[in-house]
Amino acid sequence: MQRVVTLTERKSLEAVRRQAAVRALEPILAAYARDHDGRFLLYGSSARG
Amino acid sequence: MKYDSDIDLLVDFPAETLGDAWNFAETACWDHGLDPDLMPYSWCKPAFLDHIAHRPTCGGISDARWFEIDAAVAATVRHFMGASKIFAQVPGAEAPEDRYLVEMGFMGAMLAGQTFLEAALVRILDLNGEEAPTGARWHADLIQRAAHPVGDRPAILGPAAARAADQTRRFRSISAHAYDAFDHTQAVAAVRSAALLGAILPSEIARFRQATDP
Repeated sequence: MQRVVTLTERKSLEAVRRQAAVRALEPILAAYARDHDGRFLLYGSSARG
Repeated sequence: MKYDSDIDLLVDFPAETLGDAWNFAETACWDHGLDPDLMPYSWCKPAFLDHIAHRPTCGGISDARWFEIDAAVAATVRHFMGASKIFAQVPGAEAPEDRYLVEMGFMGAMLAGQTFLEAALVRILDLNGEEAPTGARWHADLIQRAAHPVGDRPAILGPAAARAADQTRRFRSISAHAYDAFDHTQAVAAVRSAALLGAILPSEIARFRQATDP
């Protein structure tokens, strides 16, 4: 019988995926900012991890 | 970070390259399956920029949602203190028209104060990843929730503030649903609680913030 993924588990998995995506995005934004004389400031819950 | 959190980014670039930077960041977020919420740095209010300025770029930043919470707390204090001043005019309002204006003004100010108090508490719950109460009794449940620790979150309101908030919550129901039933006895109790909240709410919230997001 297939195991049911609870709503809490789905939310938790999606939160982990988003955290990883933010960590992967940071160096990309930083490189662009460095090359174009600007900066991106990350704030809010995505900055806290 | 929550399952539905978007990614909040301030874009600080020279005017001539701001559009390209914006498009780059937006596309990069989408490519990573993230919902971007972008804002030009130059559009931000000074108080918010001060808040951000002390934080390093890309990481380690405190939650900006305290900005809206502080605004809701300030509005709560303004309306509850205003209600207290209006209520002091009740004895002198003898003519029916004057009495009507004072009573309606008082009930409106009490309703506004309680609405902003609830908005502040709901935002604080959201900040802590806690879903707000729902259902017909959510107004009362919200005060009870704020008065107690939940998980590793400490109580948001101390006992005195929580009792006062529950008293103003009871009067809110009158203000919202019984426009023709001004109850002076209940109003006296409510206005005392409103004045107490006006005096101690900012320090209550500051204490909670220091404990949870120093």
